Amino acid sequence: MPQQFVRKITLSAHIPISLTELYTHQDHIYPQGASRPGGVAFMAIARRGQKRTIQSGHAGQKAETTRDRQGRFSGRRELGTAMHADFDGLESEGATRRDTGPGKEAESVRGTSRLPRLAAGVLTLLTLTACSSWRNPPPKDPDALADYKEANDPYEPLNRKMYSLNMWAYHHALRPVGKAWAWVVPKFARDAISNLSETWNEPVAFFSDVGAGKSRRAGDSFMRFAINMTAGVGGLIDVATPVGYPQEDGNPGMTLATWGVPSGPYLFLPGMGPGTVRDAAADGIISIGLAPIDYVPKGYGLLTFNWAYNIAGRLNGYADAIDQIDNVERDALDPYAFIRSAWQQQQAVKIEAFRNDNRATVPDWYN
Amino acid sequence: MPISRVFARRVLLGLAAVATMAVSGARPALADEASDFVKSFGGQLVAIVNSDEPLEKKKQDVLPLLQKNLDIAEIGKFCLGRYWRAATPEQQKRYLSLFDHVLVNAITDRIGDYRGVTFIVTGTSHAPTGELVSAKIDRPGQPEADMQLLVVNNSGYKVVDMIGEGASLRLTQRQDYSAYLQRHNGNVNTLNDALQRQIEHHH
Repeated sequence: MPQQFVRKITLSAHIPISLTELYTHQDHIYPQGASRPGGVAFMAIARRGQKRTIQSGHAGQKAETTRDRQGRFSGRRELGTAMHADFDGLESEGATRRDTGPGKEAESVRGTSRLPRLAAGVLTLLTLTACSSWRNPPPKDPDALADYKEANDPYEPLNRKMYSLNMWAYHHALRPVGKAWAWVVPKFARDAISNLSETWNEPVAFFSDVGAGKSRRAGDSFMRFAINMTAGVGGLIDVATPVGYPQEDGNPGMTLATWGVPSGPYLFLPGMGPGTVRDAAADGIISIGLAPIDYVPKGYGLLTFNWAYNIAGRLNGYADAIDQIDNVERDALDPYAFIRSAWQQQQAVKIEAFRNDNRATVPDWYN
Repeated sequence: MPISRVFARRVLLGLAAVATMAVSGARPALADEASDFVKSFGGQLVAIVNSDEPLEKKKQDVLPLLQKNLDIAEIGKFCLGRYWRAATPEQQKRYLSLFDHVLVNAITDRIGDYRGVTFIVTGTSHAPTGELVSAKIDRPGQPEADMQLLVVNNSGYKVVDMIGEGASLRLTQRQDYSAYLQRHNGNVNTLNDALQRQIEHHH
């Protein structure tokens, strides 16, 4: 989702058996013949959060975890139901056609439609077979079940495959290109691109704040956008932070969380990194509509600018995160699980901070 | 109501009030002690990091400081989670020894990355598992970083966790090890071997 601008991306890898030959640097971790955690991935640990850190606390984490667990179960049920509904739909459609098809004409219709139907059937069967291998069933052992619930990752086999794909891309393209980018582009220019990406994403933060009823945050986002787009030369310079409007987290996924929408299971999506069903839906659908860059009209060279802007933002994110990604790969035995845990904790704290931000709308200097 | 019962109730309420005041009075004292401990530990660490000594010397100097101020055994036990109970005493002993190395390596590896660091304690809060001391780290050319150290008093204050950008280091590590062990039939020996290889390949 290129419109998501710069994210502070942290990648880490675990290498599937099929890609073993491509990665020999982790052989010291896995003994001969031992199964490796499948998958390679990247994560956007703190979207637009490069210039600030989050106050955290154990209490907040626990509260969110409980909510997540509740959401996890309901989310999984919803997915399961949807899957069955689709399958049932196919079956009933087939049955209807069979019932209404006596006679040559109908025979002919069946003959001509057999191939696509067969293909659809095979595809459905394959999908369902694949689905069963995408999902880990809950374990019976109570301790293992507690771990399973804590991880909130029933689709771990699928997520690890996506992680593998991302890390393969990271090692073969994004890391070298990101390194080259950091070497070629001077620091001030990279900072400017980073500021541009953050500023242009402020409308997303603004509407998310409004949706969550966080008027102070919404005002801050509005002021940041207004100041940086004018005094900050279209967003290239972050003038707003020094004058009291620092960048704050806020996205549609967090807004939905404050509405009580359950997070659903953990998802690792190619190009988007770690998230949940709720985040993926909110960021994938709502954010695109809220980002001004998406309303840039075609032609007049602006489309080219849109592409350049997105690609530069992405590269910047990778270039800034390479060291972190490398550290995780070096220090973790199972980087996929390490990233999942870190991201889930950070997200819980961010949402808790967002939910508890009930500051007055008057500026600090007024008090 | 008999006077003796009224008197008894008053005495009881009075004692309860005194006990509450004693507890609320003890908490700031604990918080102050925890805060002073972190100030002292952080100050010594930053002095080494900012010194002009060569990197190897810095690493040597940091080692006793970490051994003294971190409860590495407690952190190690936490990171092994439920597998700690399942491990044999030999496996536990080997694991703790290896974990000590891995943790110290992970910290000392970062020493060379920083220079001109400032460390300020910004506050303390009480958590069910200990005192949470918040600190701010400023590095030249980098955004300010907020972190929290979880400090417990087990015959002297020691750090048992670090929380950075919302993520608890020991919890993340536990889930890393737990995922690894789940994929290796819960065999602590396999984890120990992996840690051993990590140490051997450390440079």
